[in-house]
Amino acid sequence: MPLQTSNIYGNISVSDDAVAMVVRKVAMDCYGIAELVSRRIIDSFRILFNQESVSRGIKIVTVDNRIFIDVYCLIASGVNQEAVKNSLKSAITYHVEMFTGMRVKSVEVHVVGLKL
Amino acid sequence: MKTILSAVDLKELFNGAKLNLSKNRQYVDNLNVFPVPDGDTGTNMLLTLNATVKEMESVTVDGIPYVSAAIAKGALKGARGNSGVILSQILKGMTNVFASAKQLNTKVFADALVAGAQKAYDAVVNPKEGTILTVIRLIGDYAVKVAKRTQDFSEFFKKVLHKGDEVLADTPRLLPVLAKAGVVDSGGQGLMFIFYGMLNVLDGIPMNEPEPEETEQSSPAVTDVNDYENITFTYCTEYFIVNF
Repeated sequence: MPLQTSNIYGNISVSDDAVAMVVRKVAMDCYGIAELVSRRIIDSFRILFNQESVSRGIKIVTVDNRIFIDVYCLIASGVNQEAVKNSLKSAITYHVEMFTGMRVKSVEVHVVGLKL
Repeated sequence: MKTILSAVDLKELFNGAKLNLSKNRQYVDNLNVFPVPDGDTGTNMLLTLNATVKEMESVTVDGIPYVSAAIAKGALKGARGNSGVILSQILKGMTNVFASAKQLNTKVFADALVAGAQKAYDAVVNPKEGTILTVIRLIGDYAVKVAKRTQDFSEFFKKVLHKGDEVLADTPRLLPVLAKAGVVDSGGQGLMFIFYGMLNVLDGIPMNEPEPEETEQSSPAVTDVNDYENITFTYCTEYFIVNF
């Protein structure tokens, strides 16, 4: 469900894919993150048919205009995982809130593996 | 004049680096606008360096390989925040070179800086220029040139840091966010404070432990609420008690 908001001119809706794109960009710029990986079957099908999905490895759920984000990633080996996870969380929260103007309720970072 | 560093010297250098960074922590914090302007770069780098020094001090065996390994381990374990993680990678790259060298001279130190930069770049997909990464990379490249002519560590550091200051001053041009906020990169500045701390040790400039912060806020003087002598606002208050 897209995010909905309105101002004096009318309604604004921000699609989940748009949010996912922001998350992807932030995650790839984040130090220590090697890759985002797909954890859903639909993403695997898209890869099978050579379609890049913007939301690969990113799950966005919006309930009552509050955003819940799950990120599945590979981390570069030899870095402090905990520190990288925390800095990714704060970077995603900051940039998504700046972009949408709405509250990010939670960001969960799942480390799926290491990039050697 | 110092041309070769021993394990004890290495320990002293890192202690000096820690002292200098802790003196300037607040300044670095205030520069923090990228990637998230939460003003914690200095604190994160200091926490990382504190953990590094703590691990390093626990080594009792004399020998650069042992001290180097402890530095790398301490930095990795104690890394906090983005800048802390990058710093730990830089230290890891540097100490790898220290550990494998027979003698720690300026040439080895320059190679170590290059290796540190390489290691730091390895862990990110899209490296952003105009950050601590740019500073360490250009410092490393310049250090290799300087080390060919300079054997004295103090002179070597002075030349390299002069270049580092130039690179740091150039960071706002590379990263528009910094230019907009009118600051240089906080991580890069933190790194420079670390190296300046090392230079101070080499030159024998004493650095004092920073004054402990006053955590206790001086509470505002409690005014007497019932000051019947000087009543300035005279109101009349009436109560109506119903259902009595």
